[in-house]
Amino acid sequence: MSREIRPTSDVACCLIGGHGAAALAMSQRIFDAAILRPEQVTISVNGAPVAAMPGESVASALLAAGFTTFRYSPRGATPRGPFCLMGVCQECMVTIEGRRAVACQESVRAGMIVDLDLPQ
Amino acid sequence: MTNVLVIGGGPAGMAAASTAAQHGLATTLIDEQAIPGGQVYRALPASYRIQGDLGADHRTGQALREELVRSAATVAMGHRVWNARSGFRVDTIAADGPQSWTAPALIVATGTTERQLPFPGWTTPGVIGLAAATILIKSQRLLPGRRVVVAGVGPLLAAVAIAIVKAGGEVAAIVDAARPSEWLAKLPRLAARPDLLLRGAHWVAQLHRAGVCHLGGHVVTRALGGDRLDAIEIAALGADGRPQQSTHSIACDALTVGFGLVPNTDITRLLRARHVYAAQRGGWIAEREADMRSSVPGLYLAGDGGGISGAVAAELQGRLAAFAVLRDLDRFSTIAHAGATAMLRQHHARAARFGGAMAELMAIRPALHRATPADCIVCRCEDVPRSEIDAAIDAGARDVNQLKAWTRAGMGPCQGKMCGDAVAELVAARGGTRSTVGAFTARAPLRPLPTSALIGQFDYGDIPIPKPAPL
Repeated sequence: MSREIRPTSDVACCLIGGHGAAALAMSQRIFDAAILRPEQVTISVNGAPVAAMPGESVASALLAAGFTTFRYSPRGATPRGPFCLMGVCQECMVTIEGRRAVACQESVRAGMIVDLDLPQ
Repeated sequence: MTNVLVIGGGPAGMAAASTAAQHGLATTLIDEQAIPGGQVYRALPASYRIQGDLGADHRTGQALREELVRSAATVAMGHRVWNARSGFRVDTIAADGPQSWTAPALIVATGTTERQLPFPGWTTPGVIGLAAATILIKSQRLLPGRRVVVAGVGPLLAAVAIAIVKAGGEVAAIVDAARPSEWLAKLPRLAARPDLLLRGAHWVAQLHRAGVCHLGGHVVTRALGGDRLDAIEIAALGADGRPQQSTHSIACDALTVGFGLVPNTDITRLLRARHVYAAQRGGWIAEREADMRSSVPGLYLAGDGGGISGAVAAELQGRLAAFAVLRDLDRFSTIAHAGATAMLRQHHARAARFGGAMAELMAIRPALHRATPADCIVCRCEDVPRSEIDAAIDAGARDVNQLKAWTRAGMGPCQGKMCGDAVAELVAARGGTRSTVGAFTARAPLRPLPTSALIGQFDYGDIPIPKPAPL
């Protein structure tokens, strides 16, 4: 491979800067020289600030921030997260600005308010 | 006025729309993603800037996107199709509300969804599809986990594993239901595209060098974890094709798994096209002739949604479908049509030979489905375990729609798109064939949608109230 692709924390921090660096240090984000990401923004997830990339899917932002469970199934009450990531399985259903939406089909915007239906 | 509507913006749909528009047809392409490309050529988020070469697949996708932009086709992105009626009228829902589209010709290029083999724990967060992993890595630039198991069957296994390794992730193992001998048996036909065959061989060599463990003839039998995945268990397949006792567990925080591709037929079923069950081509597919015409006049099928033959063939099918529309709307004479399609047909035959061999490797393996344990969830949306499906069959359910009504399997938000194949296989296992047990009936809305979006704006004063009838 000619191009370096590193999922490492130091690259993340130097590209992204101070805010949210701790969260990104744990992230699975792939960084490489061929792709320039925009400045990160902050969204609200269940009231807490979460760093995200504008334009990425809400599902990606949540996964990158360490959320694995997005909801519980209505009948068996078992934990669920994204499964198909292409808008078919409906497993990543969340509430965005008061509206039910499939997280993998919604793009992140600064200040977006996302709520996951999780037990406290 | 629109002459032709194209549903789906993958290689088939992009090529179909570009070709139709280049030859003067008023063309509209509809797709639910934000940027055309489909799943195989899925674009990066629009906010990401590319400042280098992202490889051959990206270049191919980019060339198709640029061709589409240069053509005069109208491109309606972010529109989810929830209904299609004969004539043709297509209803969509987008962020700014519902919209309807009409045209005398309709090209359906809706591709596939992944086939899943239910196993205990497959609903655990951290278990995702192989196509899902591809989307995460290629488009979202995110690894599925820190230590990933790649499992299932087909060429996506190597493609996903190599993408993880290149991105700096760890592949704990590749758990492949196919044995090496199955690949060898397909070699003569895979040689129809030596370039793609060579790329596959190159991947395998790279994975070997990276020290990735490849377990042929094995499947994942259980995913362990609560709110996140901790580990998986695997078992070897016996001579009968069924998994034997689980022998090993592998610690991992992500499992990406898929057992081939299933053509999306909900739109062609809504439009009452004739369908056949062809296991070697992905399952239920709408019949189509060499120029991509379906059994319904004015309805055309391009790409894997009409039978699996791969991205290269899909693009050529898109162009063939556009030329068939041009012929049928009398824009092309018979001679002009024959001239325009002669080379395409030759290229298509070669690409389809390679894609067809791949499709056979990804074909459903009934023995695996029949080994589904009784307590295993089959329908994820409604949490229906196999035991309830078997109970319904015992009570007399003989086709999948009867079973759906009795158990709610396939009745949830995904409308059976995740479990349809597995449910049908379980019903067929107890008597009948996939042809006799049928497929879930396609009904609008094809995707969940808020009724408020359809009603629009109105005041109660606008509702006409009839005068009371004289007594």
